[in-house]
Amino acid sequence: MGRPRDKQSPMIETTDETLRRWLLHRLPTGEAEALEQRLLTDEDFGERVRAAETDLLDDYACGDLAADERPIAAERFAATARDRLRLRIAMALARITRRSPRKLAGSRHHRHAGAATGAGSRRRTRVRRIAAIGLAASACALVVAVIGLNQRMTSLAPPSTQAETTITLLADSQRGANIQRIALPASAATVRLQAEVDQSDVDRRDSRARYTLSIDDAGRTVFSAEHIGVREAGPYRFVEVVFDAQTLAAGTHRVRVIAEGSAEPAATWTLEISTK
Amino acid sequence: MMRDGSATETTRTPFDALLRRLGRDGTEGPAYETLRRRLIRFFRVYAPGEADELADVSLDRLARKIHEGTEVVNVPLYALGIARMVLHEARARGARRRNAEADPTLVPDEQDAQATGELEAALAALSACLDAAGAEPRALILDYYGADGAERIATRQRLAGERGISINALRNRALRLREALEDCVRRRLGPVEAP
Repeated sequence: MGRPRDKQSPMIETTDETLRRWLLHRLPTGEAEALEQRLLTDEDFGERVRAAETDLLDDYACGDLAADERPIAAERFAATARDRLRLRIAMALARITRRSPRKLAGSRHHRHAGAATGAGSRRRTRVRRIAAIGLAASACALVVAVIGLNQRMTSLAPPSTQAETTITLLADSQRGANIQRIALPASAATVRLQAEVDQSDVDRRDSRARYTLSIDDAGRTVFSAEHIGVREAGPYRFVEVVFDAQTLAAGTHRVRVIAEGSAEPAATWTLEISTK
Repeated sequence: MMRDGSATETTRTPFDALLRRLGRDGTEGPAYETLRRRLIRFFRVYAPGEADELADVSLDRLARKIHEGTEVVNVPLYALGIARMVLHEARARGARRRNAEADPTLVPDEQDAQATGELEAALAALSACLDAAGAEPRALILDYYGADGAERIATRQRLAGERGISINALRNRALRLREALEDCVRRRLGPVEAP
């Protein structure tokens, strides 16, 4: 084995953002190596990394990471039993620091799960699917509507002061000409939109599948995102985007999700948005 | 050739040689623990699921090199070089798959009840630990870790200003409180299952 390098790297400014990028494996090799050296020689720097890791954990627990950051965070925070417990504590802490809306959102899931008992296997499956998908956001964001369960879903959405709201679109609610009505909280600053991807769209084993999601308003595209990776919740797959709530102005919107490079038709949902 | 020139004559095992190289008269133990802790931090960045194990592999190799008489001028940086090699090998052979293949917050529906129950248990334990922590630590924890995004920086600057301390001092204080809180929750929830 060759002699390891032992030259000192030039000191660079290390911001919290730099540490975060390092922890997410987004830092160029040279910069990462400099931080590695500091980690081995500077005790205070180790504490800063620990603090940055904790902030990253909290953001992950709240679902505040970008889609391409989550797999790295998932690996990191599910690595050991101790890490997994830290993640649960972070999710619990998020509930406490933003208490009311989150607890209501969480209890709403339970209420609908209970209501589905005895209502047939298909409906139970859909409720479980909602729980599985919605859990990604339920700790830190208010789920205002899960389209496809029933219309009560929107009317049961609690009043919100939450900055971010979540809309979940299930694949089997897109068929036909149904218009789904959603009342967005006036206080919503951002919307997290989750759209289930049909199993038939692409080979489920192909983790490289990418999707384009667009939102039209009277034929005009008001939002579009490409190359979206797929998230999974148990057997269910969905794509997720976050955008400014003002994008969904009152009126009728059409959401389209299409697998890139696929001949499959686009999945579409029609939403009637109002503000409450 | 050894820089200190005496390890091979006075030590019987690689571990003894490493300790001798790290210090004398009682300083070697803490120095060893510090080096091990830093190596674990390094591996936690790149291979969190096996950080402890890879740190120990690196220390074993370092000890063997020193015992064999390899020149080691700067022990931490030499250890880093070994750690990089160990990491490279671990990745190359795919030593161990990560423990969770998917986002752990996205649990299969069969596990929903269990996951919800675990979260509720953590929530109850955390609430109890926060109450036991006292008013000031509780407020600091909730304020410091309650903010996110752009609000996070502004909130922390305000908290540091209110307390008349630097942002670094506030960060360390919040981190200590957070770790104590997590220890409290762990104790209340009982033993952690095996990795």
